[in-house]
Amino acid sequence: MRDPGQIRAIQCTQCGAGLDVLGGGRVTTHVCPYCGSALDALDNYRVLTRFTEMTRPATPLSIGDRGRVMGQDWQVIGILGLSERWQTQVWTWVDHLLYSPTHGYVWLTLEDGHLILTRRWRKAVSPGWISAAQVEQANARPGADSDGEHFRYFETSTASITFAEGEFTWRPRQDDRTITVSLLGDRTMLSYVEGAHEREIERSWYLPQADVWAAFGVTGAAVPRTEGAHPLAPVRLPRDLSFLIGASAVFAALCGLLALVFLAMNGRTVLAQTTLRASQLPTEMAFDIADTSRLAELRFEGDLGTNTWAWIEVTLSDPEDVPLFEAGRELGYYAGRDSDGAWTEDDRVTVIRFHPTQSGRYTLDLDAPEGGAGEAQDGPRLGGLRVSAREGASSARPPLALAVLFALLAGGLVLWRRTAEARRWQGSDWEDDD
Amino acid sequence: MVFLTAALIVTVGTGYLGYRGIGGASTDLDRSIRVGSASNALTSSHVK
Repeated sequence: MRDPGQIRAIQCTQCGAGLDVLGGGRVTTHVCPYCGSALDALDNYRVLTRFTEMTRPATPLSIGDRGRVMGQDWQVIGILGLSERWQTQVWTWVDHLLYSPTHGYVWLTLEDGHLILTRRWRKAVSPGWISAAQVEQANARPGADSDGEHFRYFETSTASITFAEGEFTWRPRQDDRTITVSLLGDRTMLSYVEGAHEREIERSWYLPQADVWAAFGVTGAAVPRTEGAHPLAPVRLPRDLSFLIGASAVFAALCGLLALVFLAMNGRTVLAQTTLRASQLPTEMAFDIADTSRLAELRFEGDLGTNTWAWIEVTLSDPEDVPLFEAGRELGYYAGRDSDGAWTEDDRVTVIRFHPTQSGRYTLDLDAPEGGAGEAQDGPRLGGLRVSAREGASSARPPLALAVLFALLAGGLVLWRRTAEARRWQGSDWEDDD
Repeated sequence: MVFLTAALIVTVGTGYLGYRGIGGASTDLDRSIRVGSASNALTSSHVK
């Protein structure tokens, strides 16, 4: 290991350019930004190799820039340009090697305008290694666990070095290739990185972009524009979304239960079921209502033959003999057979619900003036009519409507979360067999 | 907590409405025949 305290600057042994030495004791290679020579920091900066025809990648950061990231001060000591090619597509990104005398080395990656911090991950990871070949052979999406976070396979990438300058803790070579198997967790990414000479497990964090750029003194138009969503970028969802979904579902169930209870609370009979023959119509019936705080119900059930209908007319008068309302309802019963099989349309029962205005004796005027067979209107077809009345009924409609609203809310929130999650995973190269 | 409180209040309120049968009356009742109804003179076919 080099003594980090001894040397502050050197001259490139190839071109003579003055180079600052910033990187601490683990630096092994220094790539001259002027001539591209890779110098051996462990052997008097002799020339190891030379990077040629390098194109400087677009980054607003330079060697020597200082900034505070994740609560720690860092300095840029090396810059790598990397690219991946697949068929006609090319992806490029820039890795900045950052150094802190107290915290060592981390990568600050600039990809499509997004800043990611990556460092070697020394904590226990299960499984200890996942290779690209294992991914190829896997039947199910590979997963891993570390530091209490579960990761699922995201992609495999093969990167080549296209540019290098500054100091590095290993010896980068032009066109060196590394294969990275990346797994995405809820908050971070875990990567199994396999280079020509070593294997590493790394963990990546998405950084607060504006803060980090500002920390490095990059402001205004110099800040790169982000392109697309990064899988590590935090999804803008309410923090307690799971709770909201659960609570909405519970309230939907609660309201559904309440609706069932109210459906069963159909009050007490004030007019026992009375059967009227068609010949008795029109007629007048009376019943007493005492409970004016809740609903009253009039129930009618017609004796109808197949494919016949009848129109009944109802007028209800209050205890002061003032008409409260009138209503007309069609009763019908249809049955037949078509290409889908037998069918019936049974509307022989109808219920009228109303709020009594006062307690006392109500009078019901009832008639069935029209009827017919099929579509025809050829006279009353009603064999008989059963009439009954109840009071003190509740209504299932309000809690049922609220149950639907809560269910829609829960469903909408689930859909929101799934859409956001799908957006995070849209760049994954994993394809399920099904 | 805000959501829970709001949901609870709405549920209790809806429960009260349901218990009282408010919102459960048939919607096709013609009340224009009622004497004194504001719409009586305008809409009822029973008033000539």
